[in-house]
Amino acid sequence: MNGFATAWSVYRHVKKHRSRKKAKLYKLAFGVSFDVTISIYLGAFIIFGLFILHETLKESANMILQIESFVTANYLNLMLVLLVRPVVTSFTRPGVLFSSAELKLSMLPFSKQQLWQYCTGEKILKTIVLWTVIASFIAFITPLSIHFAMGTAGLIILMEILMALPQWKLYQKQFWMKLITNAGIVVLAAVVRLLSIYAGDAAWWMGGLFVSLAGINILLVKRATESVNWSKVVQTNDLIIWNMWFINKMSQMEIKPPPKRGWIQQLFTSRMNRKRFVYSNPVSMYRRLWKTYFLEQKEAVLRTIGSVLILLVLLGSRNEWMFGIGIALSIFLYVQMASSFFTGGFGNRLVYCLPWELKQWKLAFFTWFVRSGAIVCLVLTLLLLFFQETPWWFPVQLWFYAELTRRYFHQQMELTMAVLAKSQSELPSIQNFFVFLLFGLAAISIVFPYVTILGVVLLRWKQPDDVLFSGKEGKEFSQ
Amino acid sequence: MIRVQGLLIEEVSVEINREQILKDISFHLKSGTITALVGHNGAGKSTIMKTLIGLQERKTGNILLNGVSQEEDFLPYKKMISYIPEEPFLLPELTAMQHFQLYGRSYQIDEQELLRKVDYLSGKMEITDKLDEFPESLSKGMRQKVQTICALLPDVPLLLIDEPFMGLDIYASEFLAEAMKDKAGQGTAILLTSHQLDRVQQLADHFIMLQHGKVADHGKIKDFHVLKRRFSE
Repeated sequence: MNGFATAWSVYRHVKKHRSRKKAKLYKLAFGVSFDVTISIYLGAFIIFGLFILHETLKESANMILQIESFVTANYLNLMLVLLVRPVVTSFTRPGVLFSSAELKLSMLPFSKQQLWQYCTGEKILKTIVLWTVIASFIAFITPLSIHFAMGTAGLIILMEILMALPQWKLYQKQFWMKLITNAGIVVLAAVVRLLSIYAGDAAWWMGGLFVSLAGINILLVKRATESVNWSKVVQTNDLIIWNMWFINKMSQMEIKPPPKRGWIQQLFTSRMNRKRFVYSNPVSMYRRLWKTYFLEQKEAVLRTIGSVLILLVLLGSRNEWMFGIGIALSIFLYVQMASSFFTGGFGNRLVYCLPWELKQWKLAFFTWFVRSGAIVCLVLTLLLLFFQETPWWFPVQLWFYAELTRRYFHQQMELTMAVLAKSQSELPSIQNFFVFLLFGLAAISIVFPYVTILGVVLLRWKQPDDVLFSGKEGKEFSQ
Repeated sequence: MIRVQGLLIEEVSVEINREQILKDISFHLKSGTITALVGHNGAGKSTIMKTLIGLQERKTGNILLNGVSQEEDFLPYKKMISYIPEEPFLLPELTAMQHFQLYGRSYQIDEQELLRKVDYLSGKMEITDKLDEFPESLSKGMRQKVQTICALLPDVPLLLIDEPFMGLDIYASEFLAEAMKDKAGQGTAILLTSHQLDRVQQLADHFIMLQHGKVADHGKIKDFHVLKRRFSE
């Protein structure tokens, strides 16, 4: 590049290098995840999959053609959806991918407005290419007509282009302004939809919307780069550009936005949380640390609870055998996930450097384990009342499941703590067998509810050295 | 079996992303000594610190502190170490005092003893008015002071300090230097890294010089003359 490079040539240069870097990352990730054998199998599966898809689509030709006529009759509705979508998205995304690279270029003698126009132009070009390819592919593999596929793609492209600027400008506005605009647009869409039923052809309404949007774009285009929160825009866009799903999965690294000082922060910095802990009972201190960890991991926590609930509901609603197996599996999954969360809690650098009072950490962890378990327990109670023939067994059953969960939790935590302490620890085979037997009883406890009594008796009879409630003075982890 | 007092590192190697960062490092820190770990940027000083703490997995070698193996008795081993990192890494959800309580509990310090130490150390570091503040409302220097106090609370056989004077004001630096001497006088072995060589020479009694992940030289601090450059032979 010479010393008098134009904004366009510099922009292209940056984009070319970004594409190369992304391609390199994908190449690395593919190299890690696919070897020759997997690639051959995958290729074969894709080819067979396409054949099967083609056959299935041919068989459902009539239904697909019905879809075509339905969509054609509802173009106005589609347009209204395409109108509302970018307005809603404006809460989180600016729409035009103006990143930190462009912002840095704008600090050199290149116009910010010009760079923004290039970004917008690129977005338009990509939208046109993407939807044209999708439409061609759909027209090629399905019985849908090319005329319909291209027409629909054209409508989507046009709306994407017309809504790019409004979304960009709306992203810069305050939250309440976005909220009002969102409500306004939804009401407008509803009014247009209602009026179109009683008055005028849908095409007229669509034409009217196009003209209005074009007018709004003309009004906004000159002020596109005015009153823009550039740091917020580039922060969001950098995250969108570099958050590549496949790379994240392969590298097991997720790009996260910088933490915001929102309500979570306030939760911790409140006056009450400044109070010193009761030194002789450190559980409240460790409970606070677990709380932070769970808030950080809230998605994984919700996923775990959700998975357990789905498992319970899906299997519970099939038949009594499956219900019992579902309960045993749920307890197993819940405790296994809990032990994995427990290990994760020591990942923080400061925490890792400490000589942990593992029993106290465990005690504090257990309170959260019980709290989240209460949700599962509530759902399980309802399922027990609705899906078994002899619901009056449910108090004994619940007691047994809770005790089994506690016992298994205790056993798994001992193993997890041993791993954390890098000490050799193996459970005696008899204990493993005992837990296995209890899980077996849980699995048949719906078909033969009276076995739960046996389970409760067994759990009472064979008590391990319980560390969970053995005083709050915090003894050292015994090796 | 004879228990070697102090820190004994034998043939420790560390690999990060298949690149060997430390190569067969061996040395012995006697109790009550202050040893400066010196070397050019990227020589492996911080990696040694992280390996000693357990933050970095080692590929080969043994680490023993007063005869306790890091590999076999991890928690008792950790209880004998405290660490001041180069950059403070405090927990955002705990105030300064709550951090001290966390350290006190972890190192099993008696409550009265902890309060006495907190009172003394926070007074010397001039943060008595910041004890109930969260890290986010403290300056970087204040946070470093809190982190330093945390590490000085327990009486341990080994104190690791990465860049001890980074971010501290002149008074806090002077106090830390005094505290290090006191600790060494009580039998604590101190391993510190620093680029402030003149300061290190006044403070330490031994040195270990690293170059490209190997021990290039070691001995008494009076015999230390020149830091080897990254590309020197």
